[in-house]
Amino acid sequence: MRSELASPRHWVLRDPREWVALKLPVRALVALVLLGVALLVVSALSLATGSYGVALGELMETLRGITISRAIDNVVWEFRFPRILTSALVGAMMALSGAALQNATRNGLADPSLVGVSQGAALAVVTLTVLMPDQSGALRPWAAFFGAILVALAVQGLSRTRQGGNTIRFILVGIGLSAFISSITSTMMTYGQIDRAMAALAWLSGSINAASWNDVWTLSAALAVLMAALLGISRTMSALRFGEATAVGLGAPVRLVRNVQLLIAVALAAVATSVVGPLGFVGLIAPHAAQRLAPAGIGLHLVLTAMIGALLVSGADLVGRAAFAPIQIPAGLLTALIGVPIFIALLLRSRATTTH
Amino acid sequence: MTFRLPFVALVLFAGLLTAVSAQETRSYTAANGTFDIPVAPQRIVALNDQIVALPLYELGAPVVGSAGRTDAEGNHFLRGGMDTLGIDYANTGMGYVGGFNGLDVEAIAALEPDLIIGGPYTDPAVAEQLQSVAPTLIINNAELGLIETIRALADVSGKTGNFEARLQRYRDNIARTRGYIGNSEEVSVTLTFMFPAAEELWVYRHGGNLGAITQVVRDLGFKETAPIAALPTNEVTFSPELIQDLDADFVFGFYRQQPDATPATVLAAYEKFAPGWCLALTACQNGQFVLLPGPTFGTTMAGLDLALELVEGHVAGRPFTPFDEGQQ
Repeated sequence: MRSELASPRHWVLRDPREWVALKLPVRALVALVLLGVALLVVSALSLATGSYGVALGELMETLRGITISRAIDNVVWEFRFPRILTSALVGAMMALSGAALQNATRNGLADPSLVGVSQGAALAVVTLTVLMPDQSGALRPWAAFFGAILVALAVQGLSRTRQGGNTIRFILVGIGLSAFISSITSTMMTYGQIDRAMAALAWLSGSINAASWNDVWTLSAALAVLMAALLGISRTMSALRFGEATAVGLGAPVRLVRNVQLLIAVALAAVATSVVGPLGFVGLIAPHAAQRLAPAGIGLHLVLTAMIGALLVSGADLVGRAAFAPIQIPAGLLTALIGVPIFIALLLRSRATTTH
Repeated sequence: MTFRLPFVALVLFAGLLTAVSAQETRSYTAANGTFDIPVAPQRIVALNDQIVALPLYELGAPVVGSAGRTDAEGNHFLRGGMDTLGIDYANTGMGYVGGFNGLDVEAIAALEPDLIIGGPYTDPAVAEQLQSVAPTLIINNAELGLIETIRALADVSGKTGNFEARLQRYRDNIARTRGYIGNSEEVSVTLTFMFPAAEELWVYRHGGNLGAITQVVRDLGFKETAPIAALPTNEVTFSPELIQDLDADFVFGFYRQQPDATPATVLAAYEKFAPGWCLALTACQNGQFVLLPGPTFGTTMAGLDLALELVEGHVAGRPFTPFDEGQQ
């Protein structure tokens, strides 16, 4: 593999047999490195911050595997580490889910929480918590996953017309169905027993405070498989960026890739939601932020998007657990707090564009 | 010198015995499994203030931390703590460990508890995570009911003797009050809970779980009117159009010793929820609609005693006009 600077703005990587040839924008690579550094800084801050007073020296010793006390070992290895990794992983997954949805629907406003996927997972979990409280812990990830898949299938089915899939219809059906599902979830909360409803409420606000190593392994495995699949179809996704007709003209299997993209998007959101609850707007913000930070080809764009999602949720979780400790503000509330103004700004921008 | 050495040895032996007994454990089965818990826990953290921390504190258990609430000014408080037992974080030394549905696991770990107790509202994942800090028990108060919940709390905290003594006194008082009332099974009682903002009116059947008051109403043997007995579940939100169905010999409501839920605020909320409500209820017309203070729907022995005294005072301590259900 040799590399050369093709132009002042691109870096070309090419292996001698020319099986792999990548032309990478320098700006995006720099952004990627900076995001990596920022994620490391936030993770280090998270590791050093918390209600349990662990001095920096003690933290370093613990990280080197030296036991200072069982309690510190516990706080660092069982509480903080899985929590930091879980935040980064769910952030990356929600962001990638949003990017895949936006690409498949060719709509910049698509997000797992706007098209009903998160709500489907939430309804399934709340139903389980209210109706079968004893089983809710073990079955929660499965319930969330199937809830999300069912809603995605319903949205897909309802948005189909005789002419095939319609992206605007997909978004509208998704928004309508998510409102419908949210109202059922609220009804379940109202008529369920108050203690069960309260337990469900904590999960619904998107909190990462109960993250465990099991969650980390589950999320890592899911992200590795699904992100690889997404990168695998990135060339066809690139073609889809120019519109369906162009993509067909370029010989891309449009329908297949779009369905695969939707499936990956739903799976990413479903797995992430099943672990930490609905995290709104990450999937909306991250792809747009990546595009603005450093325009790049679809593959690098996906990696940048994942990094931004990871950084966003990690930062939100750090602020949520440390800013007013021991009051714990769920990361989901903070991502929504950041996401809603951005969503409105995007809407206003798209309105301005359409009126021109 | 002759006596000093045996004395020192005796003190050391006693200290050793104390240390050994402090670590002595026993097996206990809670709603979330069977755990080895200390026979006499020294540092308990409660994952709910009203349902766990207050009864534990009342029994004399060493509660070092509790989940709680936060008011509009950002101050933490134990729900019902000042009203019921005159306690709060400031005058007990209990540490605040987050909200009951937003627990700070590190704050709990920092208190170095030897026993952690939560309820069915505790996130199972958080309870599981806390097992690495100390045995974390889930006491299912919704399933056990008030008496058995406090009995379980007394059991795990090693305060059973205290609890049984108070329970016996309560039972004696119930027998006395039943004697005063006489035919309590002919007296109908309806339990209502109005939120101060008037957004919802909840009605509880006697088998419901509204803390001390439902226990007292059951123990005294009061009856439900036909419309209340026909309610599909033990606790329901009620329609303002059916307000007359609440009528009974006595209709109870509740206020709290907080600025947003005073008796005046709660009465105004009934009026806002169902204008003219008092005219629709003969109990209200006859002065038999009674607002009881917050501890009466709490989950403490003090709440039980208070609820019993107030009900006794209103039902047995004065003449009242019986409600004629047939004329409704």
